[in-house]
Amino acid sequence: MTVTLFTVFFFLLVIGAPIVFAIGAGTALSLMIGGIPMTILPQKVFSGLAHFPYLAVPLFVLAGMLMETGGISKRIVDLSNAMVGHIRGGMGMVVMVATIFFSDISGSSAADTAAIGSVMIPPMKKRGYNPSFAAALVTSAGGMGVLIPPCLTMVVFGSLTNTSVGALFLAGFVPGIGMGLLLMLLTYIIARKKNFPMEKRATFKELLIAAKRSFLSLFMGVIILGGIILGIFTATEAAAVAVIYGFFLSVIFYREIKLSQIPQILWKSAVISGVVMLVVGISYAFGWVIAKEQIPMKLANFMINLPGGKLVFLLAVNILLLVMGMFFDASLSVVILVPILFPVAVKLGIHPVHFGTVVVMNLGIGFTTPPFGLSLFIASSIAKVPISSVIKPIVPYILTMIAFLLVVTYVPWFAMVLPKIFMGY
Amino acid sequence: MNLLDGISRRLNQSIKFLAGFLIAAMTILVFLQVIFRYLLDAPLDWSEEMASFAFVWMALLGASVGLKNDDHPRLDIFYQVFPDWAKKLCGLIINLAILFMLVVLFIFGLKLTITMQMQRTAALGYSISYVYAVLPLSAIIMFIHVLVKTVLLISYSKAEEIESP
Repeated sequence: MTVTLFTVFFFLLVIGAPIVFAIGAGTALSLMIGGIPMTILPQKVFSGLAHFPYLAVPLFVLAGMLMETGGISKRIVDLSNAMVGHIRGGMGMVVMVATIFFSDISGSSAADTAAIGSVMIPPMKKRGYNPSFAAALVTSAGGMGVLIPPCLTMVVFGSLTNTSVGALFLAGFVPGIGMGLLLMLLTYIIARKKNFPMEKRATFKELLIAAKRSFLSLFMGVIILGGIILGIFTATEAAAVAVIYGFFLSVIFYREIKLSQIPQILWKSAVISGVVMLVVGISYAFGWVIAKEQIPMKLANFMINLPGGKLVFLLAVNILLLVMGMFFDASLSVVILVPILFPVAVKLGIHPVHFGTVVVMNLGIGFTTPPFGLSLFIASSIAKVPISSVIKPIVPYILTMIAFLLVVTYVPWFAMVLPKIFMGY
Repeated sequence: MNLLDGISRRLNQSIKFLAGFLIAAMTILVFLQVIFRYLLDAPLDWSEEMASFAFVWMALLGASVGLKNDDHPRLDIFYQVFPDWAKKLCGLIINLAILFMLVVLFIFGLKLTITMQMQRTAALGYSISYVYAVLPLSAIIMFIHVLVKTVLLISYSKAEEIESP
């Protein structure tokens, strides 16, 4: 069954089938051959989609579309430009900072990438950045964004393992910001080498004007972030509030969107989200087949018997999760793998919060890696470039992320420092 | 063929607007949920359920428009270097695989929809089949789109003239 699944999947993938249908056809055929009731396919797609947190995806896509069309993104970009535009590759830095900001809003890497991508890629193209490089930047930023709280994957991990979700949120912060700074440094080095555009340095007065002009736009983020941190609303609700706020700002206050443009903005957002969500839905059916064949279980057995204890186990976990992250939605990998890996980790004396951070970090990187990184697909479809063209510019980013992952894996300080200070871990 | 092509286009046009309407409905429902809870102090118990169902419909219908517009991401590194005849052959294999998956989704989605008929939703109490129905519906819409693409693929002689499969 698994052999059929992977053979069909990889064959269709290689000859250029849309990935979602390569998975879907492989899953359908393997169910048929395995003699399993094929109702599993529609049922898993349905139950996978019917999770309330996923509603945040289309809502943030829509908010992003409104920001992009309604002059909101323009104002934020203008401000960021006044702040860091004079550095080489300044727009690249803006992507990173904006993603940290947006991740504080969304909790889902797909939503981060969709929101930041649709806001930042068009202006970057306009400023002369190579669209493939822009897509690579947004993709890697999305991979980093998973670490910044709130994060759905952390919530799932926490509830599965009885680990404090608050501690996990705090734990993600330092590695998240650290990775953001590293990626900005890398962007700066690349920008120096390739001579990316920079703007002339803004005067203090110009900076103030840009800040004033973008105040209401930035306030959109404040509402969302504050609302989630203070526990006023969930990420999904925050997304809906962002859409309504963005609508009033761009249609009524800025008057940059005509009412006649609204239907198009709506259906375009629905299509972008539909494309993403079909992948998520189908991967639930795919994951079901994999889990049925006990593949995760077999892998866990293999790992616990490896010599070298904790160090080798963590390395093996990293490799396994990176590979899983390449193919699956993060929540799905967590649901399948964590119940098996977590007891092994605890037995080896790894702190649950540290382990959770490593897991989430891995899955974040998985989002950015070919052949099946979700962020990669979203970013390249927004940038309107083929995925293959994004692979080359993204390699240095992925390598940097993996290097930092190993640091966080073997130096627990990064993950544990904030939970230690604030929660006494 | 012209008839089928016309159906596919017109269907896609209507589905676009339906999906757009659903995403707007979702937003308003979730927003109302916040308003009622905080400003009116009267939490809604049905808004989350209804928004989730609008979401499932929107997602699958949106995905069908994505299929029509060739928006679904694919790995094209190898495909790009294939000779014309191989591109055409691969296109056919891919379309057949998609059609196979859609047939499964349609038949078993329909079966599921019928089986679930008696099950009521938790908050609103209507039949959950109304939600499941989007599975066979979106499958048949996508089937029509892929069928049209396949006929176009066969009838053109050069791969360049074809939209990607």
